[in-house]
Amino acid sequence: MSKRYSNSPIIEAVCELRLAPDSKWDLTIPGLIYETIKNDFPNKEQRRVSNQLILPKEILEKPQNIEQQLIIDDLALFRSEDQKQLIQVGNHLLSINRLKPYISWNQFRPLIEKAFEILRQVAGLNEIQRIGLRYINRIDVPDTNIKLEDYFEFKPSLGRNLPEMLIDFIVKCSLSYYDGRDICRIQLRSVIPEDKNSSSFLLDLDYFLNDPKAVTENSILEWADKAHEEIEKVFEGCITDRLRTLFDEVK
Amino acid sequence: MGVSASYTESVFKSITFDYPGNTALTYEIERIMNQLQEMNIMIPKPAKIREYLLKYPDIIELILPVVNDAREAFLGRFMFLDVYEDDDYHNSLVLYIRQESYDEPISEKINEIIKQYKEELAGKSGQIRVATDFEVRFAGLDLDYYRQNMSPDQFKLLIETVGIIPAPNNFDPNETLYPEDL
Repeated sequence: MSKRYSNSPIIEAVCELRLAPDSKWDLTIPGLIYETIKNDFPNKEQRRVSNQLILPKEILEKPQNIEQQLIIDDLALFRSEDQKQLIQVGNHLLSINRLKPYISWNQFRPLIEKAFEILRQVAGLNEIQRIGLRYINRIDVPDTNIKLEDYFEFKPSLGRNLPEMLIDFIVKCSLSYYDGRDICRIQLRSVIPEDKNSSSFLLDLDYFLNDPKAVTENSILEWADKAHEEIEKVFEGCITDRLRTLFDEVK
Repeated sequence: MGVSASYTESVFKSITFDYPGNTALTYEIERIMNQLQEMNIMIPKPAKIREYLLKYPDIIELILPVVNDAREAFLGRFMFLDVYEDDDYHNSLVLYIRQESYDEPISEKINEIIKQYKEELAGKSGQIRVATDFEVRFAGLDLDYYRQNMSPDQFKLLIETVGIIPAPNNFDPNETLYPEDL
């Protein structure tokens, strides 16, 4: 049984599905999706995102340099009336986002199911390249002079010979699941606090499929359930009881 | 030395699957805010910035380019990012630049920066502006009136101090710094 918190730190939950680049896709797909969901997601916007990828020199056959490549995606963004639920559609990409307040998996899952069904109807789900479930938590501790180990089991370790006063940090690791079929990337970083009397951290849990052939159209939701289960365990593994008290566990 | 096809395939596989696609709005916002902090851009009201960017995420991609241009144009200047709240339809992000003297010809440089992004901004729901911090520090003060009625030294003192001295919420600069009191 998973734990529930009345002061949950989740600021966004995202389920993202990426289809293979050579799968069926055309520019009308975002419009077709919008036609189907516009009653629940009436507000449409656009946003452009870019990612810098560093490609190894062997791939580029440029012996002197490591090349950076900028990948740009134009996303159609559809928002629910209350602005808290989003569906984003890009080139071979669909994401379902739930902003704070995130209530529960039982409420988020039907939205994922519905969005995937619509995508299946307009583009097909035969060639899944990546599926990811991601939870972004912002943890605000009402104190400026804190010991990380009091709040986090997952934290940077500086060894014995460095000063203890961290100004900022980022720590990241990837865990393998089911013989490498899935990966969970954990990232904890300090972020700008809401006010001067607190410390804030972003705990980003990104669980994704590493072997595209392992999930088919019919097993996507089963995969998502499993991913959610594992992410819950990772979240609990990252924090201490002191944070659980701060989050106010509902018993 | 050649690269085997299987190696190439595995590298591309790892790149593709490792790449989440930046669909998480909140992560993007925190990433940008951290970068601004590293660039010494003050964010006095982070909650306001977070709220604005969640509402108008299409502006996110323009923040760093605008800030970079401003930093190049105003090297070493104190800058801060805030939300200017007019009414709900005209709220905008503003990068404020510390103007060091009242007569400093700064607006041309500012116009140059914004001109470059005019076309891109036209299609956005969010807006970003660059301004001097005069309008924040001297909000409600008729500076021309004070300049005309003060000696140059008094006026200089006013410019150097108002908006910088920590003051309580009910601080009224008009009352406190009325010329007759100086």
